[in-house]
Parts: sequence; C-alpha cells; structure tokens
Amino acid sequence: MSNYISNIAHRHMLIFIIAISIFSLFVTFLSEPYGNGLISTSFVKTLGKTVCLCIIALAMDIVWGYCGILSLGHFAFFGLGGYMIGMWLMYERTSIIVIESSVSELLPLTETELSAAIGNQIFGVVGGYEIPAIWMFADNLLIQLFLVVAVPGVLAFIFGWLAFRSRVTGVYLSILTQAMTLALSLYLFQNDSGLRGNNGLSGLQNIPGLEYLGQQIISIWFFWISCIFLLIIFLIFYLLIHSKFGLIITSIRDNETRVRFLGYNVEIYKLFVFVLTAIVSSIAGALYYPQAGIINPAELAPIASIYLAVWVAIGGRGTLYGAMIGAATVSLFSSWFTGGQAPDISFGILNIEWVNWWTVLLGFGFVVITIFSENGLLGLVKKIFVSEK
Amino acid sequence: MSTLLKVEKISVTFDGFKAINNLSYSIEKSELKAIIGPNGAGKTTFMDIITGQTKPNEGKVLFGKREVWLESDQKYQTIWEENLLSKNESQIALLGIGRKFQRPTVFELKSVFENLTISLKKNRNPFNVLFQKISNEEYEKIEKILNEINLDIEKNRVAGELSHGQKQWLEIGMLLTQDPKLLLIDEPAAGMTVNERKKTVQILRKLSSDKSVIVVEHDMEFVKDLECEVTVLHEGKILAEGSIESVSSDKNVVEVYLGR
Ligand SMILES: Nc1ncnc2c1ncn2[C@@H]1O[C@H](COP(=O)(O)OP(=O)(O)OP(=O)(O)O)[C@@H](O)[C@H]1O
Ligand SMILES: [Mg+2]
Repeated sequence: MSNYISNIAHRHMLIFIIAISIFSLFVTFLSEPYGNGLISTSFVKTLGKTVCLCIIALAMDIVWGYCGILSLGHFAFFGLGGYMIGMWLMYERTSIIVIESSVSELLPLTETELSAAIGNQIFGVVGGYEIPAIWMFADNLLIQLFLVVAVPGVLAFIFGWLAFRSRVTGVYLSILTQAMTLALSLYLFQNDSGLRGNNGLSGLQNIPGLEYLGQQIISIWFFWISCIFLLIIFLIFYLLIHSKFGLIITSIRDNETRVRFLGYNVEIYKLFVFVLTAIVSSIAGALYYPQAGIINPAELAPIASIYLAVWVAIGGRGTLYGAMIGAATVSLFSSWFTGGQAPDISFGILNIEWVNWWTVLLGFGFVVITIFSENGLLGLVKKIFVSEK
Repeated sequence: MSTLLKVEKISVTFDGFKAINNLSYSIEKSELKAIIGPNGAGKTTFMDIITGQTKPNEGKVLFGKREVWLESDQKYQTIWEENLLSKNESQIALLGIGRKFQRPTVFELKSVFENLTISLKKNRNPFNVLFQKISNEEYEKIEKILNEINLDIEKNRVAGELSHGQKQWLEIGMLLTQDPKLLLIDEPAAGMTVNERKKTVQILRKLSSDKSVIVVEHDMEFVKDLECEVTVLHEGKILAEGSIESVSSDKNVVEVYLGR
C-alpha cells in the first residue's frame, strides 16, 4: 500500500493491451491485403482515423476530465500536427514527381529549377512558385516529425504560460482557447500563410517512397501504427493518473485553492498538462491526416474543438475508457449519417436528410445522455450494470 | 523571546471599505493565540493577508525571526527571514504556514489517506512528483497524524462521507503532514458536537507544544477552553487583548460583541 499503483491497476493495463491486440488482429484478418477482405480499404481508413480520434479524446480527457481545464482549442493542435507531417508528405512526393518527369529531358534540373518546379506544383493554386521559408525543412522527415511535437508544444506553452499565470480559469479560459483556435484557422485560410490557404495540403495518403505498396497495404499499416500509439498513450496516461501527479491534478480540478495553499504551484501543473496534451493531440493529428489524405484550415475551425469536448462528455469524462468510447461512437455515427449512408426519413412535408439533421440528433443525444447520467455513456452502462446486480 | 510572525500596521480597503485598519499583531514560536470578533470583523481577511491571498494596501508582514551575533557591535541583531508580501500563496505555504479555511475544504472524492498524502512535505516540482512514492516513514507519519486527529478508523473512507466535524479535523491533518511552523485555523469548531469540540481543543493545544497556532473562533466557550491569549477584532481593528477573563470584562468588548 505504500505505492500509488495497485495490482488492480496493473490488471487494467493488461486488459487494455489484450483488447487492443485482439481488435487490431481482428481488423487485419478481415482486411483486403491480409485477410478475407470483408473490411474494405476505405473502412480500414475510417477505423484508423477513429483510433486517432480516440487518442486526442484521451488528451482532452486528461486536460478537461482530470485537470478541469475545459480547453476548446485542442483540435487546433491536432490540425497543426497534420500540417507538420503534411508538409513533408506533399513536398517529398511533389519532388519525386518533378524529378521523374524531368528524366526525359536532356539536362538534369539545376537546384533552382527543381525548387521552382516544386514550388510551382505546390503553390500554383495560390498564385506562387516560391517555396515559403516555413517549408525549409519540408524535405527532412525527421525534422518535420520533430516539429509535430515542437510546434504545438511551443504554442501551447506560450499560450498556457500567459493564460495560467494571469489565473484565467473556467469559462474565460475556454473562450480564450476558442479565440486562439479561431485566430489560427483564420490565419491558415490566408493565401499567403505559406500553407496553401483554403486549399490546404492534399495527396497526403501517398507516402513518398512507399507508393508501390498501394493504399490497401498502407491503410492497414497506418491502422496498426495508430493502434500502437493509442496503446502507448493510454498506458502513459493510465500511469500518470494513478501516480501522485494524477492525485494532484484531480485535486486541482476539485479545489484549486486548497492545492495552492498546500504549497503547490498550480499554474505549473496546469501548464504541464496543457502542453503534454497539446503534444499528444498533435501526434494524433499527424497520424490522422495521412489516412484522411487532405487537411485544410476548416479542419481546425473552433467548432471542431467543441465537438471534441462533446465526444468526451458523451462518453464520460474523467475515465479514459469513457473518452475513447465517446470519440469512437460519435465520430463513427457522424461519418455514417453525414456520409449519406443513413436512409432519409420523410414525413410528407418534412424530409429528414441526415446530412443536415445529424447535428440536431447529436445535440439531442447529448442532452439526453447528460440528463440521465452525469458520467456519460460509460456512466450509463455502469449504472445499468450495477443496478442489475 | 523569538517571534515567528510579525504583522505591522496593515490596512486593506475593499471598494472604499476598510476591512482591516492599521492592524499590528505578532505571535511567538510555539504559542497558541485566539482571535474573536463579530461577523465581518476582518478575521478571515487577516488570514488572507498572511497567506498571500489578499495583498494589503499598507503595512508589512514578516515571518521567521533569527538573532544574529554582530561581532562589530558586540550585540544581537534581529533578522527577519521573509517578507511575506512579496510571495504568493504556494510560496508562503512552503515556508511553513498552513491554513485551514472557514468552510472545511478537503478533497471530497479522495480517501482520507490520499488527502493526507497530497500535503506531505516533499518536493512539489511536477517532474519530481511524477515519480514520487510513499516511503515507510511517511506512511508511519500519516498513521500518527491520523491518530492525532481521531481519524484512524476512517483512513480508507472517502472524505466526502465524513461528518462536518471530521472534515475539519482532516483539514487540520492535511496541514500537519506538511510540517508547518505556523497554523492558521479559521473557525475549527463550526458544526461540531460538544464532544468534537472538546477533542478539537485537545488537538489544538497539543499542536501548540511545538508549533505556533492562531485560532479564529466565534464560540466563547471554545476559546475559554483553549486557555490562551485572546485578541478581539472589530471593524478591522484590535479592540482588546489579554486573557479571556480580562477581555470579556472589557467595556468596549461587551458593548460591540458580547452585549448583543
Ligand atoms: N474580497 C473581498 N471583497 C470585498 N469585500 C470583502 C472581501 N473579503 C472580505 N470582504 C469584506 O470585509 C469584511 C471582513 O470580512 P471577513 O470575512 O474578514 O470577516 P470575518 O471576521 O471573517 O467574519 P465571519 O465571522 O463572518 O467569518 C466583510 O464586511 C466582508 O464583506
Ligand atoms: Mg471569517
């Protein structure tokens, strides 16, 4: 008992490891390249993306459910992660195409010609051909991967440092995070932002150097990587919340003043959690967008971050499983309803097209679940399960 | 004599209203003192100032006196270690000033034991906290404190389930695990049964054997049992100081406080 991690906690971690292994093997054996093909490649991608959304939901749950900071800006970090990896994917692929198409020419391209050709390919849509300075490392995968961590990390640090130091809390903090998100998305919409304005980055599903594998295989590989990251991040967060650190951050959530008067620098803890979860969100985004194939500024519009909070609330905040369940159910339903697969319902004059009505249904579901269970879907399941006994 | 805390001529104004008015106060090491006063007298505000929650408009708050022998002058010189006004709440807490709030504030969702581990005197840097474990000595220390605050059998209960009085004790226990030098206890007897009050008096008196304790209370009987020097506060000023007998016979005190 002199330790914060109990044996039960170890068992919980083992259960999750087994569950995620079974799930990924199951999908693999039903996939097209490695199994009987019952699951289409596009559905493998949907599943892989869903796993990434579970990762960011975990991050949201740590920052909000456990530390009590209702950030409505974490999807911005997710988007930034997508942009950072997207830059390498797009640059590298374009450069391969440009070089291949120049093979037929008599003279090999000079540095400047090459750069101009790549610039023209990528930035032609926004009327440019020069490669902006922020793309200077785009040809280096390692640096771009580092930026996936560094860019949102630094942004979250600066934002969090300013906000927490001035003791901005509650609704005011949420509004501030929305403002940050809005500013970032508006900036990215600019054509001269250096990131192709509202066109965003595209063709991200083509992994440079691995095109010969084909999307069938790439999609299942990405699905695996996403599952591995989900597993790692789940385990890290699980250990975190069951450590003394977890005890402190949940105490900050429940009574910030008391913690402060016990000698803890509450702001540093909040900053730590904010930056850590921003980085995890960004990693999730960097895994998501190669599977989505395209990223544009609309992805990190303020509403996306609000949806993230809704997922976590629906699933059950303050429990890691709740966050994942919420993200997975809502996002899968969402793609089903908005993807046009759901049959429309007609009531004579009123024709319910799910593409438009899905948000209404979601809002309704949100209200119903929060009325019946303050701990979301997971809380509801627990309630039913416990009362049956 | 060695003074632990010295408050000099502090004043606080809230929107033109003087909550604390030119107040001076001090407490010695291992001394127990009580402050009484009617509602709105400024007792809680006084504690807010010492603990860094409210900054006074005027005055000084100094903590931890030390006597240093000056060779050149052949005499002792007094050095104040810390000016509390330049510190924030957590820094002041780390100097060894623990505060119990007027309304009991414990972590309701956590067990009694966990509540006590949070406040253990240890490195509070988040990177260090990540890897902290509870040592056997700390475990014993918590057991000892649980015993002192009469909560040993409640160790594994969720704090939210405790009675009002027990929460007050738990909060005092949380202050104790951080080894404080000075305890500021705001209304410990509120919501307690007669029996619990008696135990609380015992707890507080025992604490003052090696710590300085300032107790704010409404209840005269309770203060009487503490058998310590009493300060009567009224409209942010000290009205009277002395033993409970002397202050309760003071004409001014009878008028503003007891007479009602
Ligand atoms: N932050 C604040 N802003 C404005 N006024 C305040 C503030 N804090 C305290 N006051 C006022 O200062 C006065 C003193 O309040 P304080 O809480 O210190 O009284 P108290 O002696 O602790 O009373 P009680 O016995 O009711 O606890 C009251 O009139 C109160 O309304
Ligand atoms: Mg008070």
